[in-house]
Amino acid sequence: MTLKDNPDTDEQEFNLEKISPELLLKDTALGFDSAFKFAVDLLDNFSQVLYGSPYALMVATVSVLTGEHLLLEDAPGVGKTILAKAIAKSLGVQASRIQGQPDLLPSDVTGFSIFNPETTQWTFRPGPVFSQIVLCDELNRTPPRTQAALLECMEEAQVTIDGTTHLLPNPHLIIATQNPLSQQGTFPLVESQTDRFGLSCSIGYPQIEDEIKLAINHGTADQVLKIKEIGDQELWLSVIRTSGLVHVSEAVARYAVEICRYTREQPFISLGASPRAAISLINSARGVALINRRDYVIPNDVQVIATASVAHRLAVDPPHRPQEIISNILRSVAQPRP
Amino acid sequence: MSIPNFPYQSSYNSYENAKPLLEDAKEEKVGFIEFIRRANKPGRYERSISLRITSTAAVVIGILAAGTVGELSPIAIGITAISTIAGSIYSAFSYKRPRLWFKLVLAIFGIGIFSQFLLHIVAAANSGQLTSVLGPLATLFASVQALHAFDVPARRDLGFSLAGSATLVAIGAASALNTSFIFIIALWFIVVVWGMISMWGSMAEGKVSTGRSLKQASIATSVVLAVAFAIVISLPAPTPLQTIQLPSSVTNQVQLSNGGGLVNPGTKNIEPAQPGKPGGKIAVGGYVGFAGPLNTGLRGQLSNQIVLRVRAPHPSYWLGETFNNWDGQSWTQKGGNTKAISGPSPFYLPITGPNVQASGVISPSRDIQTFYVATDLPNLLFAADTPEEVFYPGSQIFLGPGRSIRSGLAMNSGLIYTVISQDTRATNEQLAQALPQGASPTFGLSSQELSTDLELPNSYSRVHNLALSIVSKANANTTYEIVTALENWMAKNVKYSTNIPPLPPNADSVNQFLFVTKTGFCEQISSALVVMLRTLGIPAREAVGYVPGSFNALTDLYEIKASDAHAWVQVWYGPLGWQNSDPTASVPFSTPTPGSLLLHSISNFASSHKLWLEIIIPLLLLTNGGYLLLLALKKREALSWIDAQEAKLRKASRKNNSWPAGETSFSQRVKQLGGQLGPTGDPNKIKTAIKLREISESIEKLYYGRGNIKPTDSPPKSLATEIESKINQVYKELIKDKGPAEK
Repeated sequence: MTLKDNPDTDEQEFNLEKISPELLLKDTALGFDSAFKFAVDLLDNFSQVLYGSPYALMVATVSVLTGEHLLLEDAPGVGKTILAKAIAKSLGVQASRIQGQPDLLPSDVTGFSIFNPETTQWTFRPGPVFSQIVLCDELNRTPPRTQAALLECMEEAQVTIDGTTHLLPNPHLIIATQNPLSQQGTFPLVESQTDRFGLSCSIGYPQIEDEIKLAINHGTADQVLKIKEIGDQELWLSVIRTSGLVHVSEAVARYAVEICRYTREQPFISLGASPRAAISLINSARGVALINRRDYVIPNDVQVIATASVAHRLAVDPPHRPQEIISNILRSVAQPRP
Repeated sequence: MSIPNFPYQSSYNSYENAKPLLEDAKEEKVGFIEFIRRANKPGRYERSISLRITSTAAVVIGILAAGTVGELSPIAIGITAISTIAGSIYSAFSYKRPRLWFKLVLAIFGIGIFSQFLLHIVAAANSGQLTSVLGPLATLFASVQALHAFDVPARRDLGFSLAGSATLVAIGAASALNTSFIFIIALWFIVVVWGMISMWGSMAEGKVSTGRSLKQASIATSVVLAVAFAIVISLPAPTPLQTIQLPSSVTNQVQLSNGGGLVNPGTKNIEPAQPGKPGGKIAVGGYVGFAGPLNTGLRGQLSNQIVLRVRAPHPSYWLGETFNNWDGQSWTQKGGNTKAISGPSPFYLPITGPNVQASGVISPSRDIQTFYVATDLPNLLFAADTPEEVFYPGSQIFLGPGRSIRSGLAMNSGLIYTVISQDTRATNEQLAQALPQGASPTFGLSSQELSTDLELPNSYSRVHNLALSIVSKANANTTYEIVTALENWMAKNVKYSTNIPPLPPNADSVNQFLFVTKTGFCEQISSALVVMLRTLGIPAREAVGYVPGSFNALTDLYEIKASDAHAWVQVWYGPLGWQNSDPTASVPFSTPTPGSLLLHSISNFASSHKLWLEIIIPLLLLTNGGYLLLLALKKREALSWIDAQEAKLRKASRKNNSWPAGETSFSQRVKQLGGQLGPTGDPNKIKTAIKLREISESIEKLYYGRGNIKPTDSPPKSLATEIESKINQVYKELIKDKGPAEK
C-alpha cells in the first residue's frame, strides 16, 4: 500500500467492510514477546530514517504501541513528516495526508456525499480521515471548524455526515505536526484539542555526525521506501490490545495520578492535567514497559514518558515552560519506595 | 529538556511464563503505620534563608515573650535564646554532614531536660512548697526549642519551630497581666506570617510573585487573626491546678516591724480627708477604711488607677476586714487580738464560725484566687468568702481582729499572693430557710462575740421604729425577709451619691443619713442597714473591701481600680455563718467566661482527687511513653526489609562515595549504582553492575509486577533470601573495591 498525498484523486472506494464490529470485538491479544519484537522492529525502522533523536523515536513507538494520537511540534525540516511516513510504511496500512491551510473545509477532511445521476442516489465519499493513519501537516494552519471536525474523529473514532455515522478504521492513529515558530496566519490549537493528543514531542536538531549521515543517505533516494513492512492492521490491533494488558500496580498508578494532580495545584499553571491526561499517561507508560520487555510498569516508565504525555496539555503562565515544569514536578512528587 | 535513562537499552528478562491476565489489583489501604512512615519521611534540606531567619526569630520572640511575664528566669532566657540562634546557624550550614552522633547527643540533652522537668513537678507536688512562679513548663518548651534549632534541615522542621514558638507565646500570653502583651503577639505574628510566606514561596520553588502571595497571605492572616481574637476572648487563662504550683512572689521586699498592725501607705504625702470638711484627696491605694477606724464622716475622692488584678474562677467581694463596733460616726474593731502565723507558705488559717460543710446546707467548693498587687496598698490580704490557705512570699502573716489577714511585708507593687477560699456563699433559697426568727444557737461563735455584733451606742428608737414599720409593712418574719425588706426600702427611698455635704460635728451619721439628707454612698447606706438590723436583734457587721472590678477578657483577670473600694454588710445567718448583703444600688458583676467556669470545676475536681491524679498522671505518662516506643519499634520493623537492603548497599558504596543521591526509589538507585560501575571497562565491575541491575529488576518485578505486594510489605521468604544473597555478594565485591583513588 502506498501513501496517498491527495485523497481526492484516488478513485478507489474505501472498504468499510474490512473493519467490521466482529473484528473490533475479537480478542487479538498477542504474547508479550511478540509485542516486544514488534516494538523493537518499529524502533529499528524509525532509526533508519531519523538519526540522533532517541526520545522522539521512543515516543513515536509508544504512540504506535498504545494507539495514542501523536502531535509533533518542531521547526521545519527536522523530519516530522518523514517520521509519520515511516510509521505508516512500517505498519503497512493505508495512510493519508492532510496539508493544513486556511481554506481547508471540514468536508475536505471527513468526506462528503455526492449525487449520482445514474442511480439517482447520494453516495458517501470518505475523506482522508478514513485512512488508518492520518498525517495532518501544519495542523495549526487549518481553520478552527476543521480542527473541530477532527475532534470527533479523535475521541469517538467515528464521523457523522448528513445524519449518518460512519465508523473509522480501527486502529486509527492521527499524527499531526505543527510549527511553533511561525505564528503568522495560524489558528492555535484550543486546549480541548491538544488534550486529545495522547503524546507530543519535538524531534530537535541532530548532532553533527548524525546530520552528515543524514545528508549522505537522504540525498537521492527516499529512505522511507527502503524500510520494510513489519505487520499489518490485524497485528497492530493486537499489539495495541496487548499493551493494554501490561500490568499497572496500584503504587505506580497512584504515582502517575499524583503527578497529574500536582500540576493542578501550581499557582502558575492556569490549566492543569485532566483525568484524561492521567489515563493517557498510564497508558503510555504501558507502551514504555513493553519496549523494555516488561509486562508491568515501573515508576521509571512513568517518568520517562511524563514530559511527552503531559506537558503539551498544560496552559502555563509565561515565562515558565511546560517541559521544565514537568521535570520539576518529577523531582517534587514522592516516588513509590521500593 | 533532559532525557532520563533511555529506556529501551535495558537488559531483557525472560518472559516465557507470561501469567494469565486481567487479575484484579488488590486494594491498598493506607494503614496507620504507613501513614506514620509517609509523615516521617526525611525532608530535603531547606534552602530558603528567610524561612530560617524568621523561624529562629519567632522562637526567640517566644522565649522573650515567656520571659517578660516572668515564666522564664533571666539565665534561662539567655541560654535558650543564644543556643537557639547558634543552633539555627549550625543547621543552616550543616546540610551535608552525617549527623547521627549529633542527634544522639541532642536526644540525651532532651531526655535530661525532660527528666528535670518531671522531677521539678514531682517535688512541687509532694511538698506543696512554692518557691517561685517560674514555670517549669515554659523552661521545658524553651529548652526543647533551643535543642531543636540544632537539627532543622528540612522545611517541615522549620515549620515545627514556627509552631513551637506559638506555644511559648501562648504560655506568655496566658500569664500576661495586662493588655500591652498584645504588642509582643503582634510582633511575633508578623514574623510568623513572613515565615509562612517564605515557606510557601519555597514550596513553589520561588515561582510565586511576592505581591500575589503577600495579598493572599494578608487575607488569610486577617481571617486567622479575627478567629484567634475570638478564641482569646472566649477562652479563659488556665486556673492553676493546686496539685502543681500556686503563684506567690515579691519583687521589692520590705519587712514591716509593727507586729501585724495595719499600715496605709495611701494616707501619707497627701491631703488627708477629715470629718466636717469637703472631700480631700486620697492616694491611690489608700482607702481610709483599710487601716484604722472607718469614719463615715470622712469625704474623699478615689482615683481610677488599677490597684489589684485578680485571677479567680468567679467574681466575688474581695473582703479586707470587718468592723463590729459603732459609735455613731465611726466603725472600729472591738475584741479579738492579732495572732501571728509563721512558717513557710502555704499558711493555713483557722476557720471560725459555723462549719457550713458540717451543717450540710452548703458543700463549699474551693476557689483559688491569685492577687497581683499593682500599686502600694495597705498590708491587708484581700480574699473572698472563707479563706483557708494563703500562698504568700513572706515568712509571717497575721490574723487580726475582724477577719483581717495582714501581711508581714509591705504590700508593694509586684507582690503576688494566692488564697484558697471555701466558697461559702449561700443561695437566696438557702438564706430564706436558714434561720427562723428568735433562734439562738451561736454556731461556733461565743455568745459574747455575737453580742458585740448587736451592740449600739444608744437606743436609736427612731431608727428602730422606722425599721419595725418597714418590716411589718413587708410582713417579713425571717432574717432573710427582713434584710430583703430593708434593702428594698433603701433602694426606693435613699439616693446614692458620692458627693454629699460634710457631716456636722457631733451629728449621728445614721440619723443624719436616714432622716435628714437621705443621700449617701456605700458607707452611709451600709452603716444604716447594720444599725437597723441591730435594733431588730439581728447580728450584723460592717465589711470593707473591693467589688470584683471589671473583667478583662484578654488577660482573664479582674482589674480592680482604687474607686472599687466598697463597704457592705455582713448578716449573721446562724448555721450559714456570715453572709454578704449589699444594700447599695446593686453593683453589676462582670461575668466570667463559660470556659473559666469549666476550668474552675476541673480544678476543683483535681484538688479533691489529688492523690488519684498523682497516681494516674505518671501512669498515663508511662503507658503513653511505652506505647510510643512500641510504635517506633513496630515502624522500624515494618520498614526493615527494604531499609536493611538499602543500608547494606549504602554502606558498601560509601567507600567509593558512589551511592546515588536524590529522591529516587531504592530500585532506581541500585540501577544507577550499576550504571556508575558499568562504563569503567573493568570486567569485574561490569559483572557487579550486571548483578546490581538484576537485583533492581527483581525488586521491581516483586513490587510492581503481577500479584505485586504493597510498598510497605516484606517479600515472601524464598524471594527475600534470593535477593539478599545477591546483595550480599555485591556488598562483598563493593567492599573489596576501594575505588580508583587508592590503587
